[in-house]
Amino acid sequence: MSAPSIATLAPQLRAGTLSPVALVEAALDGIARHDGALQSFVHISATARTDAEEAARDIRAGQYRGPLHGVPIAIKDNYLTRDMPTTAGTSAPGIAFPMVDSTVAARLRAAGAILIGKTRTHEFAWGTVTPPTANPWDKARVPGGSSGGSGAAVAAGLVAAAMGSDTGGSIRIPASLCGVVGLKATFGRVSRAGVVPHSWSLDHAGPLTRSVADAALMLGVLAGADPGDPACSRRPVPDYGSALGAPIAGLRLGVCRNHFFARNQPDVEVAIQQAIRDLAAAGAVIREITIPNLDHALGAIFAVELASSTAYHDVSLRAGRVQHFTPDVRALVEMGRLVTGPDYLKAEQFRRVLMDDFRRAFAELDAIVGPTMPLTAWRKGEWEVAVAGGAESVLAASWRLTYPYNLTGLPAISIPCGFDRSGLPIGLQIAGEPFAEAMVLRVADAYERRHDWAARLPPL
Amino acid sequence: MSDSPDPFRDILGLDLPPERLAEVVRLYRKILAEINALRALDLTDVHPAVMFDPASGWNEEAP
Repeated sequence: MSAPSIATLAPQLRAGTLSPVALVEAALDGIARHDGALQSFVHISATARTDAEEAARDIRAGQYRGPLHGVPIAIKDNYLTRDMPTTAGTSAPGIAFPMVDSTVAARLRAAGAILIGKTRTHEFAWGTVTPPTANPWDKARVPGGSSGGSGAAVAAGLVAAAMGSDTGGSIRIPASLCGVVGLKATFGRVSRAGVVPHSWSLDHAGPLTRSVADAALMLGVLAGADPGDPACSRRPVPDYGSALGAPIAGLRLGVCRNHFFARNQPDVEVAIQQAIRDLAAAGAVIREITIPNLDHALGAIFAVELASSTAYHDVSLRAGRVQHFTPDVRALVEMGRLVTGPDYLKAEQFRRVLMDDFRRAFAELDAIVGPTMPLTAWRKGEWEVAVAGGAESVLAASWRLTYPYNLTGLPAISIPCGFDRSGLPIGLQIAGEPFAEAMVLRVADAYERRHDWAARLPPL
Repeated sequence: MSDSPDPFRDILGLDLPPERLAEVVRLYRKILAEINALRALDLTDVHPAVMFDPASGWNEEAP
């Protein structure tokens, strides 16, 4: 498979040297040939070809809408779409979702993108695996989750970009494990209207792409006010592309040694330390920092996530429909009832404490860098993994380094930064102040330009 | 509700057969340990604190 980026495709589409129809046919052919093994898609659009023909006509007529025009893009199966069914990964009876476009789907269509299919999510976007989707780098291993279908589809080159959602790391985890770029912008930067909710105050919508430049292109289309999402910011949307290519000399990058470096696999540690040295070699000033209260963050996110998810599923819980959920999701929804009101509100109170820690850190920093995950992709069916000399549950390990940025709503991106000795991708995480996506993209782009990780493709 | 309410069913609204309830509570123990650590924090002086939008402090600032 070849895997051209949006930034590569767009000039050809605009010039007419590449047809959206040919691009869609190539994507459908790739899906037909490879997705039987990957199982990253759950639905293929019946109108993709006619949508491509329409895009081709518009471009020929001089009505070019921008860099997504004519580009096939996949969308996670928890985003409502008017022309494809949404399941949110559940087959439980009595649960159905309307055939209308989420704000994200509508914005992608308005920008000319062709929504080619829905990618697999773990049920209701819970968990950090996406069964039965395979990791393209080793099909015996997980792609991460819950946006594992999107991660696998982009890594395999089936599409140039796919939408994910991120409540505790579900964009960045599959991005890290599959070797692609995953961007979770600031809470409120991208509308969640029409995304099946998981936890209202933790949920983020965002893209998985092959490059940082593509993430910037996607965010430029997706970001912006939306009355359908009360948390959506009215801030103007900057030109994220203008941040790319800028030098990072003199930028102050924090490295948080507590929590983020406490228990990582050795190969992850080596790759991240090298990435930090590379950023320093590009002129960035590296500062060691501490975020003191991270030790209590796990209890806080559990309280918020469990209580919120159970509130959303309350009717299904009382009606007994949860007995048809997958066993892990069923248990999580049931145990959300055990989180008390004071637990939930103390967790919210704690978020203020954590946010104050980060605010103090960012007073002297431009971004924070570190690993996205403490480990690389684990084998399907494994529930314990070796991390830093000891066994740890995959649930505990897999989201440890991502959920702090859900509790705080800070923007964070995962980009490829190497491979472990088994040839599995490793992710570098870069986080910024609220609404500092341009800074996050600038640092990520500067790192990406010095390496060729994004050009490497899994052997399908 | 009877004089001897079942706290799970009558107060928390978790109406499950005893075996299933025992399983859910067993699975919850590790999570409860983390929530207990949160409960042990003295956050008395942290207020105002309830936030649905954790980035709201920045929302009105210039981009």
